[in-house]
Amino acid sequence: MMRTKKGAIGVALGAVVALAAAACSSGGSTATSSSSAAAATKGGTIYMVNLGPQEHWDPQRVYIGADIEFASRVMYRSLTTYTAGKDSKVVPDLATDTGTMSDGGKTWKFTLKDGVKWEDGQDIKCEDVKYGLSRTFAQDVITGGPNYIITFLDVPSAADGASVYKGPYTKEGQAEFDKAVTCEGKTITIKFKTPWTDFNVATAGLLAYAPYRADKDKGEASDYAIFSSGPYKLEGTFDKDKGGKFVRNPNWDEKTDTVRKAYPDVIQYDLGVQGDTIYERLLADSGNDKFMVTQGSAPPAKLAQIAADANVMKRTVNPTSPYTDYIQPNVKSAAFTNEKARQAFAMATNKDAYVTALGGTQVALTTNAMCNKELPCYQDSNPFGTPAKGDPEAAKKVLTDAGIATPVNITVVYRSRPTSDKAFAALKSDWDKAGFNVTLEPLTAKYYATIQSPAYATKDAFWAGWGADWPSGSTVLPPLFDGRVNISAGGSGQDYGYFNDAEVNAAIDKAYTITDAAEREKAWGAIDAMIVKKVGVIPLINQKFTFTFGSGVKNFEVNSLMGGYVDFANIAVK
Amino acid sequence: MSAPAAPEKVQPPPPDAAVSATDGAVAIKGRTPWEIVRSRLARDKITMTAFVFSVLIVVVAATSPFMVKLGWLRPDDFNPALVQGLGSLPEGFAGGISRDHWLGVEPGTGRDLFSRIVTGITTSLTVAILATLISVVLGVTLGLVAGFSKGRLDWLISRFLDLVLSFPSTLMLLSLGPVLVSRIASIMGISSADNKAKVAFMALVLGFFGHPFFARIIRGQVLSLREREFVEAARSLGARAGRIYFKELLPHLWAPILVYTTLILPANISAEAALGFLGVGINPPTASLGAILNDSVAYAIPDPAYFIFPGLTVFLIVLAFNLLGDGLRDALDPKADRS
Amino acid sequence: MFFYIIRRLISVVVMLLIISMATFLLFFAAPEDPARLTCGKNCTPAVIEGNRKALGYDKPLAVQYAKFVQGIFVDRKYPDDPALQAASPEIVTTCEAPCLGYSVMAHKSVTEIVKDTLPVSASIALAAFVLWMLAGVSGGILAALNRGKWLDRVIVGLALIGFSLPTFFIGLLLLTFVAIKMKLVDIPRFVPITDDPLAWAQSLTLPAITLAMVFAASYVRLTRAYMLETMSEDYIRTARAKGVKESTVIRKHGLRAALTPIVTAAGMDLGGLLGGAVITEQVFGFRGLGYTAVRAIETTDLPIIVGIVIVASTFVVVANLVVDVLYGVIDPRVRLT
Repeated sequence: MMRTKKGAIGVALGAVVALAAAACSSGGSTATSSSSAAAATKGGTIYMVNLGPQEHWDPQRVYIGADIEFASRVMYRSLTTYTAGKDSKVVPDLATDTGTMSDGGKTWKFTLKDGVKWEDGQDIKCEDVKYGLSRTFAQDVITGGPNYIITFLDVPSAADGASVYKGPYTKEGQAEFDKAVTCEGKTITIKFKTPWTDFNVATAGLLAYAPYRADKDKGEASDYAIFSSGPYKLEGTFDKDKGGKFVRNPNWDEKTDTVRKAYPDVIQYDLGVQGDTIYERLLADSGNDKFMVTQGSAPPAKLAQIAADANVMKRTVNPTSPYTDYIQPNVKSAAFTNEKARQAFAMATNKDAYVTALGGTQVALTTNAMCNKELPCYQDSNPFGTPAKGDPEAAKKVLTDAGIATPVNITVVYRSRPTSDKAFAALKSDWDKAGFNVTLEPLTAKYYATIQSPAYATKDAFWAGWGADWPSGSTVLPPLFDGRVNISAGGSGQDYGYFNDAEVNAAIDKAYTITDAAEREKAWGAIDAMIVKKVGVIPLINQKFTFTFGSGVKNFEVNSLMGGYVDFANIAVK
Repeated sequence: MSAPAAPEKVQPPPPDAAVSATDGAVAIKGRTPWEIVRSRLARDKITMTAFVFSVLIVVVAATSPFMVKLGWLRPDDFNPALVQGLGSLPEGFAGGISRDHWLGVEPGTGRDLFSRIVTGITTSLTVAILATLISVVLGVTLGLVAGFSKGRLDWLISRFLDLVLSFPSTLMLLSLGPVLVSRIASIMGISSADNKAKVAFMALVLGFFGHPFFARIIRGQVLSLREREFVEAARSLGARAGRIYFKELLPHLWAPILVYTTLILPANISAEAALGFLGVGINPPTASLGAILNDSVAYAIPDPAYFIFPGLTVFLIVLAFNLLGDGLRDALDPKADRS
Repeated sequence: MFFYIIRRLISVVVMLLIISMATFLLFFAAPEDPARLTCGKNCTPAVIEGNRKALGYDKPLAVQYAKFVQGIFVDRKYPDDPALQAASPEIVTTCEAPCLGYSVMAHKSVTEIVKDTLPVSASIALAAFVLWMLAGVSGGILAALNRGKWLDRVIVGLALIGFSLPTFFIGLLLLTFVAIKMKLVDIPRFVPITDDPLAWAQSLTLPAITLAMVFAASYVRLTRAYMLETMSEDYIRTARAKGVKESTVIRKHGLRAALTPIVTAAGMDLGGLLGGAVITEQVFGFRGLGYTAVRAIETTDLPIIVGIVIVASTFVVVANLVVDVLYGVIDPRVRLT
């Protein structure tokens, strides 16, 4: 569940998706810098400016797409990684190759390269990778990161479903973990319970499988204490509200690294600057701001200003992001237990108005599926044949035919942002026309933590956003709609609408067992359509990003596979 | 008396110089004080204009729900066709000003800005008036009791007022929001998403942090009044405290109460706008001046009309009430010389 | 005088105790579990319980409060639980006195945060203070001396307009039109005075003008009113009757008496602003106390909120004391007993 940086739209979760259309241009912008032809040389300072605050820097906890993309290029190396820019593919990083799979995907082997070192000059050892893998199991300390390893790794589960291994701090169940992950010299062997055929893609897309030095582990306290294996290291400390300064790591050997060019001498990472201000500075392009990049998408109010200036357009890109915004009706709520009521709700949803309120088609495109359009699992489905602008009349008829008394009082919860306030006002207008009486409840803080709490189990529908962790439907549908892994006494998990359907659950179990990758993705697509048909979810839009960068930045690329943000592998300022 | 001005606070204080209580003593040549005040006001054109404008605003605010019902105002009609500019900006002159949309339309939705501003005034004025009433009731009560009782109770109330004034009211408003809104909603028996709960919350907190100014002024007035003969007389006749407060003292305090009510009301209107700017305000789709401003600030450059009109509205309303308050004070001040 | 100050000092301490107690009650006795608020998504009961112990939320409120007050004088250690400290000594953080609490989310003691952000708030407050006192007091005097003339009307009119403009509107107007559109100044970014005093002053221009505008307006009105009041006093008339030059009357007699209440108000206002100018800091993205508090409110970071509220109130209370004492020094008519 990687989330986007809080930009003007500040929506969606998501991460790594193959986006062939990343270069898709609008208004003449391209995904790569116009100045990329110029030969880049080492030197200079590049400025990364974002709103913040930084959620995590701990490799096992970092889960925001933009943060993973930055950290993968700057300070954390993993077993594999993606090549830079567009048409990105998985290549070896710390490992000598992209891993060997055996036993139908249940066993993976990686061998570490010679000469790969930590920032203090010590070799990166197999044990460090193993220690990194173990940390996610300490769920009371290593929170917020991806949990796939707990589901897949061949460690038995206790009666309550939790793993018997409790992580490296308590070492409870350590013997079981030591059996599943073994080191022989520089070779690590990892055993899974169920096949994980694209594990070497996951190691490139997430940092949860990156090495970690046990003696540097202070749990929560070392969240921002970056211990680098990449071309840059932290100078001084990182302040989650202000940022930090990254300088060259002398113990990184470029001979061991085929991907990172590390052109700038210094990366100054500044946090706490509002999106409007970031773009004002980018537009003004004066002083050090010439060497500035950001992970925040341009606020819609700024788009016209950007487009009005041809020079700014030359340094602006408009890629499709891997994220999907959606609304999940709560199947446990009084109004939406009835599938017909949910159907009417879905049919009255005016996705066009939602797009307009967010800032138009340069900011978002409507969709009918949870899988992003660039994912292999994408299948267009429009079970009720409604147009993108919704059909309140037809929806009203569904309500009347089902004998549901109108108006149906419902409360819809969403995360408050200026554009989302207008977007939901627009949606409400059409829902009300269909016979609903909608109360909007915008939340300003702690959005996901709030809506998944039991206190919100009576609300009728929730906005949310999501993007795949790597290009597979398995990182979209089960994490969001498998009630068995989500719902507990503590709340809804990530299945905010308490959707728990026997037919869907059976199909999920079956999809996991399909060995052929293309067939499997097709099965995920069918499940996606099935959930949409049962109105377990109403997909709204796929976001589009607009990034402007300073005129002194060379080799500006967005990486389609790593969340669609600026790629630091080739970037330069000289 | 110096009321510390702190305009950075969301709750700005009433302005400066004191108003003396007027009573029969100022009457000259047989005219009643009311006649003097009235003739003074009638000669003051600025105050009269401000008065007419203020009354107009209140009337508009009170009638806007009916105008919406009659279809004269359409704050919730979406016109996506009007906002097809890049970034969903309105097309046309100055934010899409046209015969149908006098002040243009809102970017992103095409809702009529004039209708949004008018209905927004209703919401904001409701909050401001309720908050002012709470300040008046609390402040006058505490001021009366403190001023009249003197001694220990006076000391206690005065320290309590100091305490309230020491708190950073803006921060308190922002931070107590989530908890108090749901508390208030459950007391009122409505959903926490209901705007009534938010209106009540803002009015309560603004009113609470505004009351010490009132209390201090009233206390000061009472301290000077209580030594006067008619209070002395009532006391020596054995009148009870309650009777003295309401029958003897209160009638002499109407002037400062009226003036400060007029002056604290605009302060509360800007406070509501400031809260909107800080992102705590009324839930959509209901319009309030604060909510409109919160959205409009991002458009200051691409759509200046959308930024200027709501800001100007707040400014004009606040200015009108301030002028009215100033004028009233001058008219009610026996020391004011009218040359 | 001496006893007066001692008595006032005692009352200040009592006031601060009551303020901190009230703040503590308001936030930590709220129905929401403070430990739950320390962690976000994917929050497990284990984390909540861990943080509860680490921050001492498992203890009764009175004990928590006593520890908080104790922390002002002696260092505190986090986690706040001897067993946890013994179990993993490497994670223990010391919060040096005066310790105002520890934020799990920020990984920092509140004192550190206040130390970081106070200079920003103080810079804005002081710069604005200088501006508004210069503009407001001189404007007020000019208006009073020209009472009824056009200059008076213009000044009073301008003051009323300034007074009626919401702070954030002035700030945004200045930011968008002066800095961004016309590029007369750079988009303000705070520079510490220790780095570069000139850049510091430059970075403060717009925020200080924004803040000063509203204050200047009310100080024009305040000064004017007091000047008019004093100038009609008997002793001024006496001075005039004695044939003292008008300028001397104004300077020596009028101004001195009129300034006393203005100094009082100014001190109080400055005290209030040292605790953070929420809106101005927000408009210009200056990370002062107010800005930080708003961020903390967004993430319900209770220790930071409570810390900043207490710090801000302390400034007001102390300013109150200073002003009262100053009052006695400036105005010979006031006797402090």
